[in-house]
Amino acid sequence: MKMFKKVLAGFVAAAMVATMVGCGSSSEAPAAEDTEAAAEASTEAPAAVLNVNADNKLIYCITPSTSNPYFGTVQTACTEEGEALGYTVKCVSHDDDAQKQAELFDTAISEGASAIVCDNAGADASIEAVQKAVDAGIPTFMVDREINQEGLCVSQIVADNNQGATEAAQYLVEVTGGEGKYAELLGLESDTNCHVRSDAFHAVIDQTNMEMVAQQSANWDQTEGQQKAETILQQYPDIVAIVCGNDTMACGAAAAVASANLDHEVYIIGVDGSNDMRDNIKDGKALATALQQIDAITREAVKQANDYLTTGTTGLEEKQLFPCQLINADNADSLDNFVYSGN
Amino acid sequence: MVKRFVCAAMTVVMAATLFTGCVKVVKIGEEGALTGQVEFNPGDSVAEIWDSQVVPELEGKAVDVNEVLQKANGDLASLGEEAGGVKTKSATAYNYCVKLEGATVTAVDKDSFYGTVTLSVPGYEGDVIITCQIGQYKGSSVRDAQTIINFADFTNQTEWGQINTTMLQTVDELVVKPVYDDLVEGATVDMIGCFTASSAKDMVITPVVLIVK
Repeated sequence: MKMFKKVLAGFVAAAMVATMVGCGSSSEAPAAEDTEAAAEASTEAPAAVLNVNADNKLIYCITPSTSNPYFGTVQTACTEEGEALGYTVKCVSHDDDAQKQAELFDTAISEGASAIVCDNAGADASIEAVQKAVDAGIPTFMVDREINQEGLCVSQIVADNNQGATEAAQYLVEVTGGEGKYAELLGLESDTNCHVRSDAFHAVIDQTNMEMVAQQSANWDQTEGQQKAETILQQYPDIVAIVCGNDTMACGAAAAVASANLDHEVYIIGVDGSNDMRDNIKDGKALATALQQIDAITREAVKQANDYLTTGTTGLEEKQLFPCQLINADNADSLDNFVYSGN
Repeated sequence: MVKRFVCAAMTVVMAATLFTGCVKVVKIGEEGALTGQVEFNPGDSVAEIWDSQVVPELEGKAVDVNEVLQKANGDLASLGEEAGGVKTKSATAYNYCVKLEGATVTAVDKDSFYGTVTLSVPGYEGDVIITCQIGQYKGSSVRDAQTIINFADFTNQTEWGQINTTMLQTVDELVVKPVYDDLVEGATVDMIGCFTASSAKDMVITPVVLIVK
């Protein structure tokens, strides 16, 4: 028994020393090294040139559903620009389903795509799919929506949603004088752009006397936008504005306002620059939108894909911003199919 | 008895070691020292460079407004890289930094949410309308005319937007507010400021130096 206690005491003492030594080593130097390594990994571009299938001259264009004409424009612009540069372009839709997007990336990889042009299905959810493409030696060029990791895509070309939503909100404030109640329709909350636009709206409107009485997600959808706006208008018929994360929801809100037979104006703003929104603006049913120049963005992505596949570099930073153009009643005539022809 | 006491003491010491020895207590706000990730603070980011780098750069590159107007020949959007115009590859409009001396305030709008003063520049008789923002502020001409920082330095467009917002707040606090009450019709001003040439005829300047004589 005595012997057992001595052994036990020795074991406990040894365990204490080991524990204390372990603590010292795990909390200092390696932490700094790990941090540096992580920082390097997150900022480095893909090390090797991803051009294993360059000779196949095949571009895969993966986008959300083309039921939204905005994404139809991505596919059309990608096809036109790609074919002009001698590529075959295959267009498919992930319907904002990350799992389906992963399967489409797998298909692109198995079919030997030279490059992937993608409008993704989630800032975090898309990282794994892009990593698989990188591992297969295929470069990805992201358009419209960013992913939350640098160094995987060769290019991420996005509209300056912050600037566009800011300008739309500023125009709303000019028109309302910064007074009155308003509602906000948010987009798909897993989408980075949903938050970027909402944050930009609020950075402007929160400086005024305008009061937000309702905020709901309509998931970028026109029907849902109309239904949510109708419900909001029943509860708050005195609102003077509905701020929408995209044009499809804004068009739904415009329809809801039109059928509500109110005795005052309800100003509606959106983001995208669709033809439907343009027509609502021209008809006085909506106030303004911020045009994302998605046609130009997509064509630029295809050009950069070609540059990269043929020279090994785009010569540009990975993350690139395209400014948005404020569209209101003064310049709506200059907008067609996401192309602005004004100055 | 002594042995029991020793065993109990060792147990207490061991428990204390196990439960506290491996835990490094980090004060709130000092997590970055351990993780290497520092929370983005646009106020600090702008404060670090405003007086020491941004204003000196813009003062140094400012072009006389008459020279810019002459080169534009009635169409500011046509200037391009002339007169020190800068823009990113994707941007549609160039940004310029101009210097005005002895300009006269011909109109004051302090009632609108986005206030401005309209300026008459000695020696210019053309039809470009020159205004100076006096709050609230639109655009990003100051952020986009300087070259100390750029979009790639930041995590995302939200941070880049916050940098712009903070620069405009800095303009308001340090440049406009000190002379706001003196900005009346007929006042004479010297100014250095930035504009984005997104319009042919409207030069909307955001000031970085503003002196009312």
